[in-house]
Amino acid sequence: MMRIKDLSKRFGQKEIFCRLNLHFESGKVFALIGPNGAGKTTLMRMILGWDKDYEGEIVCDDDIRLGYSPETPWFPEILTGQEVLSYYLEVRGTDKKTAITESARLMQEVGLDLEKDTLVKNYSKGMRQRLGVAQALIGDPDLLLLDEPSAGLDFFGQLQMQTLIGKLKAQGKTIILNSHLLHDVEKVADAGYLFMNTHVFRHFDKAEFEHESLADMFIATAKGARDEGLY
Amino acid sequence: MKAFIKLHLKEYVGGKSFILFGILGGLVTLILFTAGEVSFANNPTEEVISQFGSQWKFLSIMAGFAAVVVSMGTIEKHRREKRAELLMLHRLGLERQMLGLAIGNALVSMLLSAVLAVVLIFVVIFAGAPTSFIGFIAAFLSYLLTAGMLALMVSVLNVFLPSVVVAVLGVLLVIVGSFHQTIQGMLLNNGQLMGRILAKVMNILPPLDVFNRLTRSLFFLEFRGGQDLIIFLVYLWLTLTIVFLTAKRAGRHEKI
Repeated sequence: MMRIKDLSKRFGQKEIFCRLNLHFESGKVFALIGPNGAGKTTLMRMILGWDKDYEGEIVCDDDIRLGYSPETPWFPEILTGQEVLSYYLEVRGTDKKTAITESARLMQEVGLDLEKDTLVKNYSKGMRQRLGVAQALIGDPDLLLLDEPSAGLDFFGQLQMQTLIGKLKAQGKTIILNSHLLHDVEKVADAGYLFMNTHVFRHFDKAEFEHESLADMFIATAKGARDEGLY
Repeated sequence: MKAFIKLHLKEYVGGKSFILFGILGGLVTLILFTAGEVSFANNPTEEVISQFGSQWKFLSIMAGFAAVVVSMGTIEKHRREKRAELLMLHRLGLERQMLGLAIGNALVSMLLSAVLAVVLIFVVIFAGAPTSFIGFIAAFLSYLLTAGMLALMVSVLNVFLPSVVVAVLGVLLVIVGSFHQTIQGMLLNNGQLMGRILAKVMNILPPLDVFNRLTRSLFFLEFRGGQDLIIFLVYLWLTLTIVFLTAKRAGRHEKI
């Protein structure tokens, strides 16, 4: 579905990525984990084409459709949840009638159908995040980029988000998930990449969770890197 | 872009601001009509003309301030709330976003300007005024377009400058513009080189007093020469060109 080849990126003097190679197969959930500032959100922005200041290549399948939910999605506070989705649909050129039908379907998809007529300003953080995912689902994307979808959510909210991601995966969506919540990642991810810094980076997949928790893997990687003077 | 502009209108045309501007405009209209204790029945024509002339002058200045208030921070807000990226993902490019914001600001300013003039419209209809239907509509249109033009200018300024600076510049634009010819005359009469240079530099500022004179001449059915209209149209064309170029730049640099 998507391959990242020899990607290098700098912010001024600071090197974020150095000849990074990643591979994302379709129909899987990938997690990007790592400390703040490791470049996870930057990587998402590069995939989306919003940051073009890099070396290397991001190669996607032809006609791939992308969906994105930012960490703190902005929504017009004066609109209801369903109106927000209708708004984005109409911005894309969907006619009003179809936008209403489609937005109602998406609200149901993310479990917000009972709150579709509630103003966004009255939404809880968890509801906003799910609305963000619904917004990302507009246009039936092949690849979904979810930036910290569970950040700041209570336990119940996190469970709801896990269920939603599982449901989208079952529909065959490819998902790249940027998260700090390791237990969350263990529940939903098939594989992923751990970024520590430019020099410390590793791939992991689901089979490894059975032997070692992500937290242990994270600590071991950090410790190893520290011993070698790389972190 | 239609949905984008519609949301902009919904966000900025709130009930409260409409009521506030309606009351404000109404108060100015009534104060100006009653200040000289003039009654329409036995009033000399000159005084009626002077009264309506003052109405247009004051309402134009207030509409100018309204346009500044409405437009001074919308682009900065759009940027701060990171609205642009999701909209780009949903296929609304930055060029169209910039155009949409500027057009939205112009429409909101024109709507507020119309609300400011609601009481004046009632006075014109029910108390009678030295105008015709066509004259009134033409005058009203030039009054609204002046406010819209100011909103466009302020929107462009907000692309490059923070809203606090834009607010100050916007207020200066309205004040200097409303007394453009007087100030320019004073500078030229000064006779000094600096005065002459400043008088020339002032030409880049929109002469709102000339636009207002056009409004009044249309209203009083005294529109003869087309000079004021040409000046108005030239500034309108320049403003639209600048907005268009700024939007193009936003699209090219992928940054509003």
